[in-house]
Amino acid sequence: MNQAAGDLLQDRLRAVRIRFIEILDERRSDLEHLRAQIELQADSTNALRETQFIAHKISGTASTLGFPEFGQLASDTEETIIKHLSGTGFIPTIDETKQVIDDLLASAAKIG
Amino acid sequence: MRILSVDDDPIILDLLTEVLASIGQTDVTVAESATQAFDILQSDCLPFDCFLLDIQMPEIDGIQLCAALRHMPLYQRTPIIMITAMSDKSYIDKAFSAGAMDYVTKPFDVVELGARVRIAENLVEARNNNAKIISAAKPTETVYKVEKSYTLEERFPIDNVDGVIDYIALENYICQLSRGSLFGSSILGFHITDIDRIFQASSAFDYESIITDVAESITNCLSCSQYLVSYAGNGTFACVYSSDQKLAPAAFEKEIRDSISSMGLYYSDGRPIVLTVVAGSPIRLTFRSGQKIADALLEACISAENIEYEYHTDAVAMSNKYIQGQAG
Repeated sequence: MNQAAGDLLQDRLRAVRIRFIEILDERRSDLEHLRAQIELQADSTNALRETQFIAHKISGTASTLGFPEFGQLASDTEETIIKHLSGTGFIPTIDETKQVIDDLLASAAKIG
Repeated sequence: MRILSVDDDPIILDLLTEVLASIGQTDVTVAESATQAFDILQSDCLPFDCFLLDIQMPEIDGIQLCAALRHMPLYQRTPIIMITAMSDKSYIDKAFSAGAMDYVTKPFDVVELGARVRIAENLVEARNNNAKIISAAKPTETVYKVEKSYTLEERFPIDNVDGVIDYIALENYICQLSRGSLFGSSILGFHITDIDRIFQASSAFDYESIITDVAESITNCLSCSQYLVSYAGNGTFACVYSSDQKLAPAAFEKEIRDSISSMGLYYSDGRPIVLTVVAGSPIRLTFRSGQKIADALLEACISAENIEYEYHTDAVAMSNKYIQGQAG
């Protein structure tokens, strides 16, 4: 891709980046709500699955839109929850799982 | 090229639209679910030339949508590119089995995405050009039943056999798999011996049926493992399978032979079809990358074709020995 085409693409992606940040605000509030459920509910499976789903969505776009570290954190969160819920192989504890979600939330707060 | 992108994440749809526009693809329609995609397909008058489908969607996922599209006559051969963040190889295997031609992983590398879409566009253009040639050759006022014609080398698509995909899709599949996923995969080639004779003796319909029946026999014998098979032309098939499945080529050849003979194949004019399938040497994909992975497909095919050559050479040597013995 030449310089002019690259610049044009970056211009186009700027508008998508703004929309990503707007939607991230909603996703952050959903994640905070789910994080509270994980803390309070005896069976946090559903809340973890929903968290995994949001993390999955973030990881799919964050890096392309210029937030590679945030995208990696989202990917780590998704993977940690999958491993925690699968109950096979190396299983992260619930505290370790909560920690990655907290890291993701902290990172989301910086972007928003 | 008319493109339909389906993803439940609106950001992905925005991203796809912008990236596609940057490579000149501005005729893009988006859908946030498979259901919405079906509504668009029913209401739109003009057909789509290419689909981009997210694998993981709620309710009807991208693999199910891909399979449904392949059941629509209009979209049997339309390029379908899957979009996936799935690291699990089995999802990618299922997508290709359902009829996907290619896939890109999320998060996107925009240059890579552009490259995959261009490959699809080239395919669409080539098919459109072929269709124009056929259409130009046909008189407009009379409807003819045009019989298909094939060349021996043609890698024509095989429909309605589970696990059999187009050769170009198989190439894309192995070239795109991560090194970790390739680690457990091998390729094995199969070849129908004396294919020149069979080809010469067959009508286009007979030849297509023979190739389809052999593909079915191969997949029947592979039914308990993860695999994808493709027709490589010249009576040769390539099969990518999980190396967990220990395939002994000789035993496998026998299984296929038994399966073919149980089918009782005949030409349209009632002559029985006598054919044998030989297997080459399995090629492990471990430690290969880039072009060498694509080359492995060809190597597997050549390996199977060489087996026939070795048989032929042995037969000639035996025959010469016999003739010399008689003369002596």
